[in-house]
Amino acid sequence: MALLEIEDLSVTFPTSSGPFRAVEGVDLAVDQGEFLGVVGESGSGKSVTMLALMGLLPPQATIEAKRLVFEGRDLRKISSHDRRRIVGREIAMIFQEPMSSLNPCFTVGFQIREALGKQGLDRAARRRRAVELLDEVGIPAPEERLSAFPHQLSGGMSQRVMIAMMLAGGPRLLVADEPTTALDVTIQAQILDLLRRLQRDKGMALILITHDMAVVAETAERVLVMYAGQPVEEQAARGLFARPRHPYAEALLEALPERGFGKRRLPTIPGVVPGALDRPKSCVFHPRCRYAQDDCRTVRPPFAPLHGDPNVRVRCFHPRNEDARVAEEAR
Amino acid sequence: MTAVYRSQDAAVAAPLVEARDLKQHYTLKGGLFGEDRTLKAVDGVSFTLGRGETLAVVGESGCGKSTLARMLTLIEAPTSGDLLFEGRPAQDAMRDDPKATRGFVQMIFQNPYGSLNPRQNVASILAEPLVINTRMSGDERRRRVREMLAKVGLRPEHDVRYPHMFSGGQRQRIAVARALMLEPRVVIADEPVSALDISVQAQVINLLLDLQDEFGLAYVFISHDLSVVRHLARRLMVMYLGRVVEEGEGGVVFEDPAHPYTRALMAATPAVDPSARKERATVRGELPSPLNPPPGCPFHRRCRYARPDCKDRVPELRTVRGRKVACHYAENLEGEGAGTLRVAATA
Ligand SMILES: Nc1ncnc2c1ncn2[C@@H]1O[C@H](COP(=O)(O)OP(=O)(O)OP(=O)(O)O)[C@@H](O)[C@H]1O
Ligand SMILES: Nc1ncnc2c1ncn2[C@@H]1O[C@H](COP(=O)(O)OP(=O)(O)OP(=O)(O)O)[C@@H](O)[C@H]1O
Ligand code: SF4
Ligand SMILES: [Mg+2]
Ligand SMILES: [Mg+2]
Repeated sequence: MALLEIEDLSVTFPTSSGPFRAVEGVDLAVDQGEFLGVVGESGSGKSVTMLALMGLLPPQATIEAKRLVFEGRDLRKISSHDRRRIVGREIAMIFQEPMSSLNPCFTVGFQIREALGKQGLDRAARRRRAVELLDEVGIPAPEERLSAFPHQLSGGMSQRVMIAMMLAGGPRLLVADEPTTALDVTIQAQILDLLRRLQRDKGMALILITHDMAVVAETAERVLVMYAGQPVEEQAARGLFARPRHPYAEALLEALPERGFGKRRLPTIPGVVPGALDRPKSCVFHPRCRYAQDDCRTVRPPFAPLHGDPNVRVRCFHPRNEDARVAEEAR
Repeated sequence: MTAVYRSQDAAVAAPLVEARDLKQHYTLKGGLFGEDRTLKAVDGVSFTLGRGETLAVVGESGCGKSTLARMLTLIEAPTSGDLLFEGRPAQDAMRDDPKATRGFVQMIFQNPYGSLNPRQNVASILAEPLVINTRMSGDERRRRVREMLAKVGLRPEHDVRYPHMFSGGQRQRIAVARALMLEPRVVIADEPVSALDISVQAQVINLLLDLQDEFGLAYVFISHDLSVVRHLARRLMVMYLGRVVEEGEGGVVFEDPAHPYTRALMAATPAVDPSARKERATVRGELPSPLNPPPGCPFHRRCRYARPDCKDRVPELRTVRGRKVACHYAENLEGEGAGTLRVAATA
C-alpha cells in the first residue's frame, strides 16, 4: 500500500480576473521509503501542490481531490486536530527559503526543543535529543550551536538546522521544496547526500521539489514532471533521462547545456509558458509542441499509464521514443 | 558595426582588456573598541581578453566575482593593480573621454527583475544610454532602439511596453539589449542566466552566442554553473576567496582539473544522467570567512590533498600541464579522476 496517495488534486485561487486553477489533475503516489523527484519550471505548481497536501494554503484557495490519503487515513475527512498531528510530525516539510523558515528571535536549541514537543521527555532529555539531531545532520560541535541564533549560521548550516527540526517528529514522509536552490554547489552536494542518507537509513519517504533536472537525475528514484499546473510525465529516473515520453520532457532535456555538448546553439522550446489565464483547454503544451495534431488542439489528453504500464504515465496523445520501446520488446 | 571607442595609441597587438594583479580591499570600520578590518574581496587577478573571446569566471558565493565585474566596468576603482583597455590604462581613457570609455565595456546583471526600472517603458530604458553618452537625435535613437529589439528577438512594436509585461527571459533580453546600445566591444555578464528556467536559459545562451558571432563581442561570463560555462567559454578562471586558483583553456581544465578546489566543484556538480550516478567525494566544511581567511593556501582546511606545509606557504599561480594553478601539489594529487565533470552522453 502506498504511503501517500493523491488523485485528481486541483487548487483554485480567486484573482481579480476570475478564478485561477494553479494546479489541476495531479495524481501522485509515494511508497514507504521511496524517493520521488518533482520537477518543473517556475510557476508549474510544484509548491502549491505540496502546500495543498500540508493544508498550508491561504483560506481563499479552493482545494479539490478525489483522494488524499496518508497511511490509509483520508486527509479530507479527519478533524483539524488529527490533521495537525499528522502534518508537521508524520509528514514534514522543508520550505523554499531556509532563512525565512527559522525564527530569527530564538536560538537554534530553543527551536529544535520546540519542534520536539512534549514526547514525554524532560528538559535534559530534550536537550540531549536536540544535540543528537544536530549531530545527525552533520553540524560540527552541536552542543555549542544550541545557543546560536539563525543569523549566525551560513545558508548550508541553516538548512541543516531546518532538516534537524523536521526530523524531530520522526516523519514517515519528508517534503523538501527546493532545499538547495539558494546554496553553493559544494554545499548543495553535502545537503543532497544528507537527505539521501536519511531517506535510506530511516526508511523515510522523500519528495524533493526542484527546477533543476541535474539534481533529480542525481538523486530521485522516480520523477514527476509538471508543466503549467499539470503533471505531464512520471516514470523511473533512469527511464525519463534515457527515454523521455512527453514532448515537453524531451524538449526540456534537450535544452540542457550538458546535453548540447558539441553543439554551439542549444535546442530551445518555441514560445513561452502560458500565463494564468490563457492556459489551453486541450493539451496545455500544444501551442509549443512540435508534434501537435488536431486531437491535441481539441481534447485534453489524460494522465494515463503508457501502453498499460502503470510505472510510466504520460499526458500526451503522441508520446515520444516509441521506437526504442518496439526495439526493446523485440529483444 | 563601428566601435564608439577607439584608443589613439593602442598597439595593434594589445588585447581588448588586460587586468594586471587587480585587487579590491574593503576597509570595514571597527566597532566601539574594534580596529578597522580589511576584507580582501579580490586579491590579485590577472588576465587578458581578445576580440570575440569568452573568459568564464566561476566560484562560489563571496569569492569576488561581482567585485571583479565592478572593477572591469569601472563602477569601482581597484585598490591596486592595472586595468588596460586596448593597451591603455582605463583610468586615463575614462579621464580623457568618459563617454566613449563607458561605451567600450558594458555590464549585464544577474537579476532580470531588479535590474530594469519598472516605471520606464522599454523604449526609454534602451534609449537612456544613448541620451547620456551620444548626441543622437530623437529619431535616430528610436530607430536604434527598434533595431536592437529585433536583434535580441523581441518585437520592435513592444517598445512601448513596461518590464512587468514581459516574461523573465524576455526581460533578460531587454537587459542584454540595453548593454549593447552603446555598441560595446566587451560585455561583462554577471550570472546572466542563473535566475532563468532551463528552456529560457537556452534561449538567452543562444542569443549571447549569436551576438558574439555577429559583432565579435568579448565576454567575461560570470557564473557558478559549470555546465553553462563549459558550453559557452573557451577559457576558464576559477576563484576562491578572492584569488585565482586555476586558469586555462576550458578543454584542458575540464578534462584534467589540477586544483583540488576545481576538482571539488566538478565533483559536486550533479550529472544529468541517473545511470552514471556514483558516490561523490563531497568537499568537507564550509567557505571560511573572507574577513579571516586561513593562512597559507586558502583552501587547505577543506582540501583532501592538503599536506602539513599547505597551512604555512601561500601557493602562487604557476604553469602545470598547460594551465595555471595555485597549488603546491598540483603535479601529484592522488585519486585521479575523482573530480572530472560528468557529462551525460546524449541519449
Ligand atoms: N496565493 C496565491 N494566489 C494566487 N496565485 C497563486 C498563489 N500561490 C501561488 N499562485 C500561483 O500558482 C502557480 C503555481 O505556483 P507554485 O508556487 O506552485 O509554482 P512552483 O512550481 O513552485 O514555482 P517555483 O519554481 O517558482 O517555486 C503560479 O502561477 C503562482 O503564481
Ligand atoms: N562594498 C563592499 N564592502 C565590503 N565588503 C564587500 C563589498 N562588496 C563585496 N564585499 C565582500 O566581498 C566579498 C566578495 O563579494 P562578491 O559580491 O564579489 O562575491 P561574488 O563572488 O559575486 O558572490 P555571489 O556568487 O554570492 O554573487 C564578499 O565577502 C562580500 O561580502
Ligand atoms: S498531446 Fe500533442 S501537443 Fe500535447 S505534448 Fe503530446 S503531442 Fe504535443
Ligand atoms: Mg515553488
Ligand atoms: Mg555576485
